[in-house]
Amino acid sequence: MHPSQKDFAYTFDELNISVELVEEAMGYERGQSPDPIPEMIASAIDQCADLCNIKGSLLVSDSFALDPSGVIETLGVKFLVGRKIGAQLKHAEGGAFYICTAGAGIGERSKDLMACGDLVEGYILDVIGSLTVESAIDKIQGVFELEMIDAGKRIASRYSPGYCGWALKEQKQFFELFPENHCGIKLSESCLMDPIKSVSGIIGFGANIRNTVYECQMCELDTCVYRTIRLARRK
Amino acid sequence: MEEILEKLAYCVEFGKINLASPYPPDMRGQDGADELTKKALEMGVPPTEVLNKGLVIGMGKVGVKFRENKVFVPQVLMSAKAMSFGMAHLKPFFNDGSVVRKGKIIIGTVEGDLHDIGKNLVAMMVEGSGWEVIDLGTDVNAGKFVAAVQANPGAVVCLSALLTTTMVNMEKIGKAVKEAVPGTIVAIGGAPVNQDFSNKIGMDVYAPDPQGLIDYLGNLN
Ligand code: B12
Repeated sequence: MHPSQKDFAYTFDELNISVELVEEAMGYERGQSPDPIPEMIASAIDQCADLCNIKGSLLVSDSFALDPSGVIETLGVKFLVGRKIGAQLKHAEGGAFYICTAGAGIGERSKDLMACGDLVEGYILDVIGSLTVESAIDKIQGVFELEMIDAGKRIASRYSPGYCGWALKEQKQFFELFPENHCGIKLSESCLMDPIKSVSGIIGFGANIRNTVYECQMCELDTCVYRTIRLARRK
Repeated sequence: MEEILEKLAYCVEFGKINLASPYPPDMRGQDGADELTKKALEMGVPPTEVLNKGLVIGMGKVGVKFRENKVFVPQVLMSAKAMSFGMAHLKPFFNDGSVVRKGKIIIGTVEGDLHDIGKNLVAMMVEGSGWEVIDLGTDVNAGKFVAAVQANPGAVVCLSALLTTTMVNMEKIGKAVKEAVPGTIVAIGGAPVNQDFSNKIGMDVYAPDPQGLIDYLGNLN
C-alpha cells in the first residue's frame, strides 16, 4: 500500500452539535442546565456556521515501524509515543496520522465576546469550538474505520501528543508528516497549534488490532474537568 | 442596611445583573446588582461594606458551589457579570482610595501559551473575593511580569499554563520575578500543573482551582 493523504472538509451543520451535547461538555446533565443557558447555547449554535472553517487531513501509512520503547518511524519521520501507547499499538500494521481544526473564527469570536464582558456567550462558543473539532475528527475516524473494515482490518483508539506519555514536544516531528500550514494549522515554537481549536494524533490499524484502551481510561490527570465532574456524579 | 447587602449578595450569587435582566426567573422585575449597589451607596452604606458584605459574599458562595461541582462555569460567569455591574459603581471609591482592597494580584498566561478561559476565571473570582487584579493577558514573558511587579510591589504573581511545553516557562518567570523584587509570592495553576511541579520549581503556592488560591490569599492578611 502506498501512503495516501486525504483531506476532509465539513460544514458546521453536518456535525449535528446539539444543545444537550454542549450542556454535557460544560458539566451539566443533558437538558439540565438552568435558564438562560439552553437558550444562549441555541443562539450560539445558530452563529457557528459562519464562524467555523472545519478541515482535517488523514495520512495513512503502512511503512511503519514501532520499537518496544515506543518510537514510531514512518515516511522518514521518527517520534516517541512512549511505552503505554506503544503497547496499545503493538499489533498495528500501520498508522493513520491526522490533524483537524474548527478554524480560527470561532476561537477569535469567543475571545472578543469575553473581552467585552459577554462572558457566558464567549465561554459557550469556546466549548462549541472544542466540540466541533472533536466531532469532526470523530467523523473522519468513522470514514477511515469503514474503509478498514472493507479491507478486512480494524482500527485502534485515537491517541494524541500530550496524552498517555506521548510528550507534547514530540509534536514537532509529528508535524513533519504534513506540508507546512496544511488545513491552515501552524505549530508554534511551544508546540501549540494555531488555531487553538485543533487536534492531532494517530489511529493505528491492522488485521490483528485488539480493542484498545482509549485515552480517557489511561489518563492520569487528576485535575481534569471531565474527571472531577464524573466523580461528582458517581457520589 | 443589612437587608440591602443581603439582597445584593443574593443577586451576585444567582447572576441577577439588573432590573432588565429576565434571569433568574423568580427575580423578574426586581432590582439587580446594578441598582442595588447604587441604592446602597445612596443610602449611605460605606462603599467598603458594599464590596465586602455584599458583592464579595455573593461571589464567595458561587466559588464554593463551583468547587463542589454544584454549579458550572456558565453560572460562575453570570455571577461575575452581575458583580462587574456592581463594581462599576464602586470604581470612583477605588480610584480615590476610600475603598481599600485586600491586596493585589498580577495574573497572566505564560509565554508560549494562549489559553485564557481558566486564567480569566481565576482573575474574576479573585477580584470577586475583594482583591485588585491586574490581568496581563496571554503569552506573557518574564519581562512583562517583572515590570508589572516593579510597578506594584507587594502584589502576588499568579501564573497560568495549560500545556506541559509552556508550564516549564513558569520556572523562568517565577525566578525572574523573585530576583527583581525579592519576597514576591508566586502562585501557579492550570490543568497540567501540580503540587510536585510547584515544589520542584520553587514556587510558593499551587492551587487546583480558583477557590484554593482565594483561601491562600485570605490567610495572607
Ligand atoms: C477542552 C480541551 C481541548 C479543546 C480546546 C482547547 C482550548 N484551549 O480551547 C481541544 C479539543 C481543541 C483540545 C486540543 C488539545 N489539547 Co486539550 N484539553 C481540553 C481539556 C479537556 C479542557 C480544557 C478547558 O477548557 N478547561 C476549562 C478551564 C476553565 O479550565 P482550566 O483552563 O484548566 O483552568 C482551571 C484550573 O486549571 C485553574 N487554573 C488555571 N490557571 C490557573 C492559575 C492559577 C494561579 C491557579 C491557582 C489556578 C489556575 O482554575 C481554572 C478554573 O477552575 C483539558 C483537560 C482538562 N480536563 O482540563 C485538555 C488539555 C488542556 N489538552 C491537552 C492536550 C495535550 C491537547 C492537544 C495538544 C492534543 C492534541 N495533540 O491534539 C491539543 C492542543 C490544541 C492546540 N491548539 O495546540 C492537555 C495539555 C497538557 C499537556 N500534555 O501538555 C490537557 C491538560 C489534557 C491532558 N492530556 O492532560 N483540548
